[in-house]
Amino acid sequence: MPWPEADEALVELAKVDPEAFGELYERHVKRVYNYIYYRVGARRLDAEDLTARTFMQALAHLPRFRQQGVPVSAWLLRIAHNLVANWHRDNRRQIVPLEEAADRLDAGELPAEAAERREERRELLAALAQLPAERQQLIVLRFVQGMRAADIAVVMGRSEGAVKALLHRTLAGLRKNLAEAAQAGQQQLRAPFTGR
Amino acid sequence: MWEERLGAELDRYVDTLLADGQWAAALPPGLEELAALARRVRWLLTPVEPSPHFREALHARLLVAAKESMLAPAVPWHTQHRREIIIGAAVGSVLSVAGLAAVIARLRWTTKSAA
Repeated sequence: MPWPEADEALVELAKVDPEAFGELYERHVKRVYNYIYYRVGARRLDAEDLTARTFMQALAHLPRFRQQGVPVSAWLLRIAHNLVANWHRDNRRQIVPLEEAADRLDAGELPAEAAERREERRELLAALAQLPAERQQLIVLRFVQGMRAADIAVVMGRSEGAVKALLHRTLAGLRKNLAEAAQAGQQQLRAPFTGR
Repeated sequence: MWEERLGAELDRYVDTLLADGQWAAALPPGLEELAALARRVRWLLTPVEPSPHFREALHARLLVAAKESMLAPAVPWHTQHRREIIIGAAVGSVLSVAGLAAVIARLRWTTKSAA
């Protein structure tokens, strides 16, 4: 028997059928993993750990899950978001370097191009990490997940207009952080020549 | 309000970026820098695949956990609804006592009237 197409029906089935929960997992694991991966600074092992915890929590809360007009994906992303917030709180005092996605080569990309892109990505992720959590969330949901503002509004519990306004503020904040980082980098480079 | 308007322009631009992945021809006026940044973000933050090993291992773990939770003995209904039962018993007791008191009071009044 094929699985129901609608997630809502699949969730109800998952309450009594473990295989149905497996299907729910397969439908959403990439989305949840991507969200967490970029929220934790592209750290693969942490992303895997938090993804596992997200689905374990979803399973634990499944009997109490009630359809309230919120998509199942939004429910899962909220669980992920809370786990990421706890992760940031626990790692706040440590200097957590961004993980190098050393093995990652996008299709058709030369190693030199990949290295350059990797470096740019590190700069961007460092600037992103300085933004408030909800702005980081917006960037990942909009650009990585490709979610539309209306759907992001449901996940974030805001109006669509507020999400769009936040997008503007977020990109402006990101631009500022990148400019400051670039300036700091240039000052470091200049220092040996000025004798400072 | 103006920020919502600017945000809406930017959001439309991002829709175009995400739809066809090409640099959109028409940049929203006054937002060229932010649009350029949006392109950069789109180019750099591409979706990643979880490793197949991780994905399969977690699937197996979740199936085991799901089966275990479904096989766990069901909580007896009287334990599940313990609070409601206690409240119901308390309310019932109060009503019984009140009813009895009313009957006794009426009997006494009737007896007094007869006397």
